[in-house]
Amino acid sequence: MTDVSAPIQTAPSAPERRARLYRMLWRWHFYAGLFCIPFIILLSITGSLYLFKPQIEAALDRPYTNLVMTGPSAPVSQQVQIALKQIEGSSFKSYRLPDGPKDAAQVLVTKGGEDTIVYVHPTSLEILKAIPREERLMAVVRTIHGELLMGDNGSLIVELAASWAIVMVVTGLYLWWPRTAQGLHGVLIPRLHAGSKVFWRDIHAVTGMWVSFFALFLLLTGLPWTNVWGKGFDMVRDLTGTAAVSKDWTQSRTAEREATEQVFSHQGHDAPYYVANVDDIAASARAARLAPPVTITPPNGKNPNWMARSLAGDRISRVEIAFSAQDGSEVSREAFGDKHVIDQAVGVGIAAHEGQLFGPLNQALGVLTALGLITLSVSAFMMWRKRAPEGVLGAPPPIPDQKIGVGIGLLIFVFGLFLPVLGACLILVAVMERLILSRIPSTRHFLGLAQPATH
Amino acid sequence: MTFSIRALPLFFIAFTGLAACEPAMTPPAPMLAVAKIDGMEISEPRLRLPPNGRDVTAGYLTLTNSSDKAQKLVGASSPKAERVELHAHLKGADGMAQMRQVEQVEIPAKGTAVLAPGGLHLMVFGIKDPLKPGDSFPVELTFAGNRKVGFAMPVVENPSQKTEGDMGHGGHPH
Repeated sequence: MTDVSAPIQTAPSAPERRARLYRMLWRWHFYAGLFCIPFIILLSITGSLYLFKPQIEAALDRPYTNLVMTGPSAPVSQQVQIALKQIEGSSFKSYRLPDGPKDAAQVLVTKGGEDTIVYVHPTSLEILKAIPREERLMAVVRTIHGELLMGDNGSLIVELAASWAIVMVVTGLYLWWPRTAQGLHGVLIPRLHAGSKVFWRDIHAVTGMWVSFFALFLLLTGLPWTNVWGKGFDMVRDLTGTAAVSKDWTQSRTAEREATEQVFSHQGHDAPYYVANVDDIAASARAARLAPPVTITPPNGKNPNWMARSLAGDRISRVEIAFSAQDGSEVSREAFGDKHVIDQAVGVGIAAHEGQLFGPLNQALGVLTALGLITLSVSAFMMWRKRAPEGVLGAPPPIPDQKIGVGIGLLIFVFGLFLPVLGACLILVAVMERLILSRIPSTRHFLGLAQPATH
Repeated sequence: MTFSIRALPLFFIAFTGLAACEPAMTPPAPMLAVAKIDGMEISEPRLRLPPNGRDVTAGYLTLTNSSDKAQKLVGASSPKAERVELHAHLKGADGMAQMRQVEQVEIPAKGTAVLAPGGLHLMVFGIKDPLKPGDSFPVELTFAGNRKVGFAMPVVENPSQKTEGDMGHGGHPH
């Protein structure tokens, strides 16, 4: 049977090759976009909220500051004991040094892997509030942002969406690259009055160009947090001998919960006897004048020393001091500059991602990028609805000959390697398309797939 | 486009509103002072419960000096104890840390001195009445120039059932 759709092959000319590449990348940009849009919107909204975590939590904690003091402050050890009594069978996990002398103490107690923050009045020792840590507003926002409230599976989906979003930015820039444009309109400035098709196309393309660097920055700095890429990153560091001794970012809530449960489970009634008390560490930590917020952790299964940690948002101001459990003297101190250079780079990336690296401007840039991403998503949706014909998905029509050049093939391979979930997804999609979807005429027609190559 | 331009002022208002709820930027402040004298503040006092059956124990506190001159703590006493001495763990000739009585504790100008285990502390001898956690123990500190200030030290649990000088090398070399 002659296949009339496969003409005699002659080497394609350079413009033909470019047109083919454009069409191919456009199709990928379209299909990936359909998947990414809802996640981009969700991550942009939750991310914008989380950018203001310090301000929002300061506002939420306002009622527990500047309290009426009815006498001298009770010793920290008494505050901790009262908090432990509040949750039956709990262990002391950490104490946050109050920022002001009239602020409530925040004691973190843990039981069965679940942490609760207990707010204790420093003089009357009254329990002002007790809330599970994961139920705080910003913790919920963060859990949605990082794992869609779906645990490790959710984290995987977020990582997949983020990986495809990187592809979207790169393919998008290729698509945007001006070829026939005259002047800046449609390139750097949107044409607002040339009809609705041009309007939405320009809003999408021009916003995309302006936002591309910041969007890519957010996507790349978020990778260390992911389960697959993050673990791969750790593995590579172990193999190359550049591993960190300890990390101060975690990959999943599940892992955090399990670690907490293991580490603190033997505390409580069987606590070994130490000479230094939480009162002493608190006094020393206060005198050390670390950047707020400062927390103190008792010795536990992972660490034989008391730790005083500054959890400053900009990461650069962070300092960790270890105190001996025997006599409370300072054993070691690690500042940001003492960390491995890779950890410093990741730390700065995280701080910038969270909008805490250089003050309100950082937060503003984050919000603007998020707004840009939402604009991209909405304009993409509008373009799709305006252009999609009745009854089909509306993908740009396929090229009959689906050959991929060596250069592009190599690029795809590198991307698939660098972003493993993307690589796995590509393989899965290629298999599904070749073996199933393009062989069933109705799905092929609806999805806009090419005819399968006949053997 | 018009929608987003009109919404811009709203964003600015929301932004500045949130920026007004600024989180703390300065290091956590010292706890509320129990006593003040001449620019010196005494905070976080605590007396460790004497180990079983003994009448000797250690007390700790934080001294914050906000004045421009260094101050000196030269003595302490309590109506409920025989005597109170200033002690420090100092390295002896053999390199081992030993507890020694010191004549004074200097608090630098605009500085802090922390009395804590393994370092400076008040050694309280001859406690007259049995104590339990939560009790209030009256103490009077004497600073250079015969300036005295009195306050109450809360008694706290002593998880180790030991006291300063028990661990390691020798006891009180008196």
